[in-house]
Amino acid sequence: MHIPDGLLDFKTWGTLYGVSGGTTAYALYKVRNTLDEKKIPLLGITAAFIFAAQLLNFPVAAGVSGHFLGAMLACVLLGPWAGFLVMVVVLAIQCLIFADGGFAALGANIFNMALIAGPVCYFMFAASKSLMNKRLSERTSLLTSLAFFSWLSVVLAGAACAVELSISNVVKLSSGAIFGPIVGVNAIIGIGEAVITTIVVAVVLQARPDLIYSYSGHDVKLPLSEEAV
Amino acid sequence: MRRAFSRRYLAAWALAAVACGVLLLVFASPWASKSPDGVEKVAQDSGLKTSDNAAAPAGGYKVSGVKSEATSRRLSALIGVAVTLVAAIGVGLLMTTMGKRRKGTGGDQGPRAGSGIEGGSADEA
Repeated sequence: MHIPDGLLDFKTWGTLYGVSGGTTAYALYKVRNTLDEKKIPLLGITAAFIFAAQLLNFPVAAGVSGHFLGAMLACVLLGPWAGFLVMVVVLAIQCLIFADGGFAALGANIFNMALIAGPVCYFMFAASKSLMNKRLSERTSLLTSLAFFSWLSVVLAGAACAVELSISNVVKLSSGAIFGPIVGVNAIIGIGEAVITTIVVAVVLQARPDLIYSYSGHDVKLPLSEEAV
Repeated sequence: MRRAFSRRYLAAWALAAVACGVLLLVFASPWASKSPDGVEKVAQDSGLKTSDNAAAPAGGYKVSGVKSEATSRRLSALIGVAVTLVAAIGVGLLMTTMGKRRKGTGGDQGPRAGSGIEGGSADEA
């Protein structure tokens, strides 16, 4: 889903550089005041895992492939803004060292894969989780919402990408020929995204629920006092 | 007690699983699908010429000077994972030290350190 150079016009990639740059500054500001030192190793591991997972393109339809995204995973583990920064680190390294995605398109790629698939979907996920949590356990609400919104994150990131290509009007194709391959492929990749994200979070939830940002643990049977004393 | 033990055991297991997963992905990287993704497909259909960052030292996940394509790809995966790990930890360290400096020396993190599972980790003076 990394946009190369040559497909976006200046007004599109320039605007998105501005939006992504501004959001990165805001995320740095937020994280600077709230990041717990103990989360730093998790920050590194999550970024490394996402980088490695993004290398593995798997075939989706005839002649088209796709790969894991990881933005929702990062946001649920680390919080929306630290998660966003993890995605920025991954995308910047992919662009600067491995030429995956164009340099002019880096702002657009951050916008699609870090902001739309990250905090934007994360806040929808958080709303859905707290709504479900009124009737269901927090664990069930979290994992169910996560499965759906990690699927949606990939679809929306693809849709944003298709919109940018259409607006730029450099690619002279009908919008169907742009949206079809990108959004259609992403709707299938999203299933893999949902499965991987949900399994990883379910495992961490079992082993170290305290490592999950969006899990408060109110419905845990074990009282905290037993551990604290 | 049993619960504390099993939690730590699970944590170690999960960490080992992540490490194995990353290694597996690095090892498997040469067999990743070479087909274009959605965006590349659109670019091909449009017949436009696209370019990627030409200044990148390992463009296309190929390390220059390595003959075998599989080795080159595994090597760049390994380098990428290491660089990403270091960069993300660097960003984290930078953020926490900046936050601390702003708050001054008096900023204790007592109420935030809620997990208690690591056991009082050293907070250097």
